[in-house]
Amino acid sequence: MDEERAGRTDSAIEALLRDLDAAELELIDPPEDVWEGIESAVQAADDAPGAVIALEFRRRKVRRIMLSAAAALVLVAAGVAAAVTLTRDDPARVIASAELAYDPASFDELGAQARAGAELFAEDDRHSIKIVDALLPSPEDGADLEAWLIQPDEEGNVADLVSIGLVDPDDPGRLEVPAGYDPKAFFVLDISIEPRDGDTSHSGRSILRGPLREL
Amino acid sequence: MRPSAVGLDSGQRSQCGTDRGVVISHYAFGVPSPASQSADNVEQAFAGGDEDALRAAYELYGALVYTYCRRSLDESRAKDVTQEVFIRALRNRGQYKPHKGTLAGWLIAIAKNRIIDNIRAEQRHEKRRSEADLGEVAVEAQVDQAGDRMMVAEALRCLSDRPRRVIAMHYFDDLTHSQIADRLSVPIGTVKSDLRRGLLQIRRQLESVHG
Repeated sequence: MDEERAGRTDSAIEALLRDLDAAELELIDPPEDVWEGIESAVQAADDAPGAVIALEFRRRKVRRIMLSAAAALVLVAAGVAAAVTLTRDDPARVIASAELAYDPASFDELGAQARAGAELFAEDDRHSIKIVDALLPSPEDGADLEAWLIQPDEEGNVADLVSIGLVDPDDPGRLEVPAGYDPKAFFVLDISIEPRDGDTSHSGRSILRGPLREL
Repeated sequence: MRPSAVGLDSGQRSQCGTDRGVVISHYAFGVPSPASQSADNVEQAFAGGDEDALRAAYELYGALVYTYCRRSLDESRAKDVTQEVFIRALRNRGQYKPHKGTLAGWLIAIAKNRIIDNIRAEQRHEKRRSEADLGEVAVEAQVDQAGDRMMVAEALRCLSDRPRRVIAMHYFDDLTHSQIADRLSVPIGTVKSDLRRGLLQIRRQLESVHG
């Protein structure tokens, strides 16, 4: 939680007020096609239940990740279990954990010797993920390791995903789950190799992946 | 003394969200503006799963989110991120708790992460990692600060006419409590009360973003 900012003093708020520029009170109306895009994306989701297509996939280069059949079964089963208690809001306690695994059939070979676990922390409505017991490879020059949370569909394919940040192989640390993403739905943790090529979509070069399971 | 900020002079319309068509009567002091009531209704409907609430939320806050995106992104990316924010909000509306904060603040919090992700991806393309890491700190602070300023402005738009005018006169025109009381012909206690109410509204908006 961003406690310092949430509990800011009157004087801090007054400073913000005094610093406000008149132009900042003016809002810019979004172009009409913004709502049209929202409407069509929502409609597409309604037409294909369980196979939600994220907007970024439609508007940018699509790199769908297929989970293996075995992994899909694990994820669907894990989803049933994980959906029960991930909303407990005890302060900063671990509510779920994951053991990440390498899939030789579809993952990047750089992950063959890698290993890592993860713990999901909950504090009020916010979540963070700590990568633990990690032995992670350093990617090639011009690339980083990146952690993602994946929302699988009923068949175990990727319905949606979100980056939760870059991972330092030597000090993976803790990563914040962005606001608006529910770990009940986005319950699969994935670590991938991401070239610095400006493409925000997943590269398809996963090295480790696993579902968060409630404790 | 600087000129009064645009939109804060007497007789202005309430501009809560983008519901800008409601004139706040000078005689409606102390009564929540119709725009605020509308925002409350939309928040409840959105949290309750009303399918039409997405459109209503977009009509109220589409410009707020888009303007925030445009502060940091070009038009094309701002349009993309605005769309993503509302689609993600719809998918995750079960997480939104009206009693914990405003819908505007929740949407801005989602937008903040998407903007940072977008900029970070762009930086990753252009810089080596060590430089990008340093840049990310600056970017996050910058986007965060822009979000705060958006929410302060949004809180002002949502205030009814007199508290809004009192805040403008005190913080923008640097008038004292006594001067404001004289100009508006109200007791000085009313001025202080309006200022307090305004600060509380701003605090609530900021807490909606930062949790």
